[in-house]
Amino acid sequence: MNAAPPAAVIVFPGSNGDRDLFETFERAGFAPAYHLSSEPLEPGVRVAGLPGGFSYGDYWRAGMLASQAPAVRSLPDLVARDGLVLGICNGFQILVESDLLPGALAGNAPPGFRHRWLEVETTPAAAGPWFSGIAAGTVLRMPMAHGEGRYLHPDGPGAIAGRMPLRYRANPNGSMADAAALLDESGRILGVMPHPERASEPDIGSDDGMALFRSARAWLEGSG
Amino acid sequence: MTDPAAVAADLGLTPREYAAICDGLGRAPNRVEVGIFAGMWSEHSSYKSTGRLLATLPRDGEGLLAGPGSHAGCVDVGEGWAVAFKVESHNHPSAVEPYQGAATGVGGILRDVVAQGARPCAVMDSLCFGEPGEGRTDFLVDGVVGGIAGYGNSYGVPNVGGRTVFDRRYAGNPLVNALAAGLVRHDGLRTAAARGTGNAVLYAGARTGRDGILGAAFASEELEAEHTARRSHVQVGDPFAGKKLMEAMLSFGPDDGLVACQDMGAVGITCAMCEMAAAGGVGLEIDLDLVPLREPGMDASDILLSESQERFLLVVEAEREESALDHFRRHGVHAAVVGRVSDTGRVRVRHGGEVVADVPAALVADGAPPAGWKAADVLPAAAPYPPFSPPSDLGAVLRTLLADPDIADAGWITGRYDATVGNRTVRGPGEAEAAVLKLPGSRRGFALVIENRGDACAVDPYLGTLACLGAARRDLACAGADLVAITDGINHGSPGDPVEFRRLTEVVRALGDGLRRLGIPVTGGNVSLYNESPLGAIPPTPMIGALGIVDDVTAVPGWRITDGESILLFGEVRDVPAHSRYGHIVTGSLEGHPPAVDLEAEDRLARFLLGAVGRIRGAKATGTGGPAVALAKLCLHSGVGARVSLPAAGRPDWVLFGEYPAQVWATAPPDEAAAIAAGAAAAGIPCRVAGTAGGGRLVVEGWLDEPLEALAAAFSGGRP
Amino acid sequence: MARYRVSVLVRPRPGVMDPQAEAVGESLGSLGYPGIEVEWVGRTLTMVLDAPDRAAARATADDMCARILVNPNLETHEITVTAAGDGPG
Repeated sequence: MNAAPPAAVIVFPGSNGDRDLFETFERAGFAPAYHLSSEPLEPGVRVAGLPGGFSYGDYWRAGMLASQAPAVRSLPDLVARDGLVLGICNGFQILVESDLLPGALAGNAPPGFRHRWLEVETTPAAAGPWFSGIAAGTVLRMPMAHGEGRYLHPDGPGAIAGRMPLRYRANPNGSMADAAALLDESGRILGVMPHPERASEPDIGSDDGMALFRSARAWLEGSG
Repeated sequence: MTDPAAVAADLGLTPREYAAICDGLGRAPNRVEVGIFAGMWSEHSSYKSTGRLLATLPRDGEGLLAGPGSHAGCVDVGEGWAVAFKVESHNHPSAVEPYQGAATGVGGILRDVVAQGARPCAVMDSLCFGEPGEGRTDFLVDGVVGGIAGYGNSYGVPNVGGRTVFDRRYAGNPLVNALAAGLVRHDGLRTAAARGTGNAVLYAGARTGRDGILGAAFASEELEAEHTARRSHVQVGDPFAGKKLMEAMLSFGPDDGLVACQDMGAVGITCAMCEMAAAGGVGLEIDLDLVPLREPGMDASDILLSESQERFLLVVEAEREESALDHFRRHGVHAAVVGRVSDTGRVRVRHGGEVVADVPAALVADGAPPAGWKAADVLPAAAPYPPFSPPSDLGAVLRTLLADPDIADAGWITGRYDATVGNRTVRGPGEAEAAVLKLPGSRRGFALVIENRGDACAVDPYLGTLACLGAARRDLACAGADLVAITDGINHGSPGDPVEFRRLTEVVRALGDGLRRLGIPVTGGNVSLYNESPLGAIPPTPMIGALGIVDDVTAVPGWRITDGESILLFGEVRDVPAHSRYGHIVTGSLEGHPPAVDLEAEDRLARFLLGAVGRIRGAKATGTGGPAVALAKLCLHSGVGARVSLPAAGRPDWVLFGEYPAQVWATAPPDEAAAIAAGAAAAGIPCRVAGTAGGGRLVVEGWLDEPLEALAAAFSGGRP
Repeated sequence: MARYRVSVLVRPRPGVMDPQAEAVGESLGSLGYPGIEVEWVGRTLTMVLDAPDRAAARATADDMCARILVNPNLETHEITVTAAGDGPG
């Protein structure tokens, strides 16, 4: 059994999902550490997590100010050395704002912040480090909590074909193609709008979200 | 023009109070000092109308770590953890500017919890508005809910429940009460008591502007139409700044040189300075030129009385002040040393090189003469419901009640609040009779519930308040939690009216009697008086925030009913008139019979339910709308019907819709139901196995037979 | 009747705290633009409408602001009216 892979939970001013993400990484067998967004990531990090919350208050445009942070600017280096990146909710917004994932996340339709437990389903695009061992058509129960989660790509659903690993079973925010998550071309950068790190224990509602984390852990173990 | 006595009167100080100020100072106050006293001796800050009453409440209990007078009451919940919890009201500001009034109300109560050294982990809200669709109600509801959501969601604290009431009597004066709870290790508790001559007084947080100058005095006046034009009193909340400040405060403790801290809320820096000095029996030397300002040209009074949000005042060991400043700046928070601790017992304030105020801390913080209000000898008797024949269509009554704004599905409100951030929430809004949260790394937890019964208190403030306490005990037990302490938010009309003041004394008398009977303390709370508008006084609306301890969060009952389970009804089945939503709907009366109350029965039932945790699967207390509504909600939550039978009665309508104490529906496996009922009977608790869960209808034999779809349409049909 | 383009700029009233301005200003400062102070952050709504004349178009916009678009507790506004398309200006 390899040593627990180091995971950096990037903390921006205003992040509020960092502690939940830290605990979930830990439960999945990673060695998590908090990492201030003002510093580039260290070389030993194997996975970076961008947590949910309201980085910079969501002021001007959600995720925009955070996308300029040195930690985010150093993510391509992490990806280049085969690391993994997970952006949840506000983290997904930051990845989209920094062009590490394509498209945009706009205000919900119908508008307004919405919180509820919902189900997402894995699609055939659910492959690679974050989805190994999870069959297509698996239903995962986890909460959503966002006001700007409507995914769109200016070139239409065709532009994200094959890169959308999770779809909403009942679209809560008007996302194109019911997209609840997005992968980059390498499959190593995952953006998820609902919260798998909050579906990490049966006591608090569901532990379906652990599947993504365990998959990543196994993949990192396999890739040395 | 600058006659201090005239200024004092203009700012709401009475001649008696002015004389007490002159007496205490040994001279007349200057203009700046008048402002200080006007703010600090306002009702909201001084509790001058209620202090002596509230002192009669039981405030001690084992497991109570910090009681009334501290920022938030702290209660031991096991495993070295304490819960800090308190309620705060922001009624008048929310009537003027609902979004920011509610947002800053939430921000303020969160800061109170942080001041104890606790990390906030839950908020709840108790809201009272006028009738939906009438007047400003919809505008106020949208703004208040928006403000609570906007602040709490951004800050990252889950909203785990609350209570919203719609009643015409709140139309001119809505109530916005926010409760916050946080977790702190026993050895992590902070104090507000300043000490150590020469120690630094440090300001941390947002810069000071002209927000809400004398907002506390505003809270202490009745709302007249012209107040909607008093815009300078509106403070703006910034949850982003609040969150950064919280992280900075929670990571700065005694090891870093922290001696004492208090948040700047009502009456801003003045309140923090005077209360911290008085608590420590010391003095403070403050230089307003050092206070970080947002606006140019602010004079001493502006700075002293500003209620700009997201600010803390700290006392830090002198040798550590540089590293303290560095700590806050690294967290993105403005910070500055603004003064020193002295041993004079006086707060001396400089501005522009001159002393502008010099006042004894204790006089300001605790010296307000108690207001000598008179209580009426008798309260006007409430007219009972006129007699009426039972309606022929009991199903129609049930559907009407389910659609009632006070009873119907509140998902359109709760869906705007994040309820799961923090990974603490075991039972959130709409999932159980109380919110249940788990301790870190443990199966132990705690539960919170809010109860208010303004309409019952309007009929009989004493019984109505007892009904709230009884309901809180019952609600917590239905969620597997043992009540250990309460915080109380008193919302009331003007104490100058002898009838209103008598009602207030009755509310407090009931709190005292009820708490003593239940053997639990009040840990602190809030008083909001002068809740009157040209439309009249609000009903007396004490809000009880109740905390209970949960042994095993995995075993707590919820609002769950599964096919084939047995359905039990605990409690006495009655068919006599009692204060109820049903009585109001049929007769139109805002008065009616007094509320039915039985605190001994509530306590006995609660003990039994707690002993039966693990055997009982679902538990739903009866409340507004009576047993039929409670059972319907249980069925609708799970989408599973029920077939029960109740004893024959002369008035089935009262049996189904009357509101009586110590009644709970519970579900259990069929082979355990009889034993549970027998155990209850042996404990002196009426209990019957009333029927079975299953099917798609709600049937109360002989009386009700409704398809769940029809009930769901009534319950959820009103809102998107 | 003529067609007018009406722009409503809504911005915080002077003296009211503007959390957006503070946050964006600080961020710009740390991203290589030091020494700037963001005075306010507002929003603009631009619409076309029919009105008998410019003054009437402005009056309509004023009414919208008073009733719906502007929160007088916290905000103030500026209206700009220009001719849009054919018709007397």
